[in-house]
Amino acid sequence: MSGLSMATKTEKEVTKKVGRPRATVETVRVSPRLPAAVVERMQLAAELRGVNSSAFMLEAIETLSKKVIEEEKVWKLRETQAKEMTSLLAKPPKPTKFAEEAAKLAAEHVEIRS
Amino acid sequence: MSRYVLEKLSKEHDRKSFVSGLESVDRYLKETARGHTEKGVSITRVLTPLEASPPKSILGFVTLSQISVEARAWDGTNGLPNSPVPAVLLGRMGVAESEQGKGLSRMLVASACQLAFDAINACGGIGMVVDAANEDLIGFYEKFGFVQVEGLRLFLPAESLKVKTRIE
Repeated sequence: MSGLSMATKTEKEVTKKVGRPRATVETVRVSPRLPAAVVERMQLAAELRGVNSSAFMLEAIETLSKKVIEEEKVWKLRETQAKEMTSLLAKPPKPTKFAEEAAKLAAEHVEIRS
Repeated sequence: MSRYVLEKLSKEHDRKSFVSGLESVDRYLKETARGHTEKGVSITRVLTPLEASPPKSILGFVTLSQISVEARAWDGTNGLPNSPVPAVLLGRMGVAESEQGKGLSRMLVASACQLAFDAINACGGIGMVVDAANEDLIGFYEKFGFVQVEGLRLFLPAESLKVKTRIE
């Protein structure tokens, strides 16, 4: 399982090949090497969903991509997490000895340049 | 006396030779970090020897960015604002395999805390969020006082970032 090849086609090229305008956005062909069992499972899932493999992969990739990007920009707290954060903010823990020693070490040995 | 410099990742640094032992961490540094730093998506700072000259070897790195913390108003959560509030995210950190066991991780996290404190002091924020690369590293961040809140995500309030030996 390795390697990922990509080929880009412009709208014009796609249109020329198929004879009619099918794509309104730039498309990219991605050819990842995947374990056969994963492909088989994906094809079965796509059939159960009633879509082809490309449409199934597109939906899965879009869903996961949005989730990963959002998690890195916005942290939506659930109720229990919000309560834990509230209590932490109300009573911030004192710096640990480990943190103080690390800060001292960094102050001595690391020059931070902007 | 300083032995290392922590500076913004640039073309002067040798990313290709960096190996931490964690593939996702290495791939991020080699393929994504510089582009994100140039675009301002996040800022990656790399630790290099003080007297290094280009191509400078990378001993370790930290990536900081902004994150919004969102919470609805539940009972018992009055301490949190109703609108999203900013925090600093330590999204990625890595130390070169050849340099592990020399205390660089501790110095990198301490430096990241210093940078987070400065950013919060200047622009506001409720604290520092850390995404640990794996479960084994959660205990390491807990030694700094970070509290595990969700999965691999930990948090430390801004007030707790004030460490006397470093921050006046």
